Amino acid sequence: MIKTKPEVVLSREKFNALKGRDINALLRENLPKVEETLMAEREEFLREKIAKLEEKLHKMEGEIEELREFYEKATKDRKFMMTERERLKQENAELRVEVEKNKVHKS
Amino acid sequence: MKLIIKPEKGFGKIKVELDGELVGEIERLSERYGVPAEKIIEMALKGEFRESHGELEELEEKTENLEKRVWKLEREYSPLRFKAYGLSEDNKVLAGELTSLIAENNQLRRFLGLKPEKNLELRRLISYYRK
Repeated sequence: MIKTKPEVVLSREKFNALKGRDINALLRENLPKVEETLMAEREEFLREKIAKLEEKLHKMEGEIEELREFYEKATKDRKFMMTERERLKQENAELRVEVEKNKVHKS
Repeated sequence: MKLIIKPEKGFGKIKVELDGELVGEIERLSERYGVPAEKIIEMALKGEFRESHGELEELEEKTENLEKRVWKLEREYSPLRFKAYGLSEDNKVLAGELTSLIAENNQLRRFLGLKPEKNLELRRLISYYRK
């Protein structure tokens, strides 16, 4: 909604040029050009936004790919390390028995 | 509705009664482009205009599609990052356990006069996750 008494401040030069002119007619004539200017400004804003979004998207795609690769590698490594843990636990238990046997034998 | 136009410097003002149709059009532009009505009037009075390339609709559509793609990736990224972090922490704990087991294994083997295990792949992984 427009304020009941909208106020516009212009340069002295522009202000003087408006004196005695039909403001309603001038506004009516210029509003389509204002709309085109607003469209041009929005287009410029969107072009900048698109460039930023494309850059962000490119960065994110790279990061996600890296993350996926890390996740796959970490899953594989985890499996391997768990197998090794079980193997070492078992082997150490067997070796401990051997050590005990050796101790008894020596004494 | 009465419009008041003032100069930046100095005195004087112009008062104009705006007709209803014009007010309606100014309101429409203000709402559609999210610009205050005063700004629209100011632009019209200043007479400094730019030309559009007629690509607004296409650009709006492209922006919307890109925003959707970013949003979709963000939804995938956060849980994946969380899962990868959890997995990395689990592997760190596992690497710690393996370090103790290898140390014990080496000690037992030495005692029994056996060669220590090399297992380079495992050692490499341990050092990777314990960093």
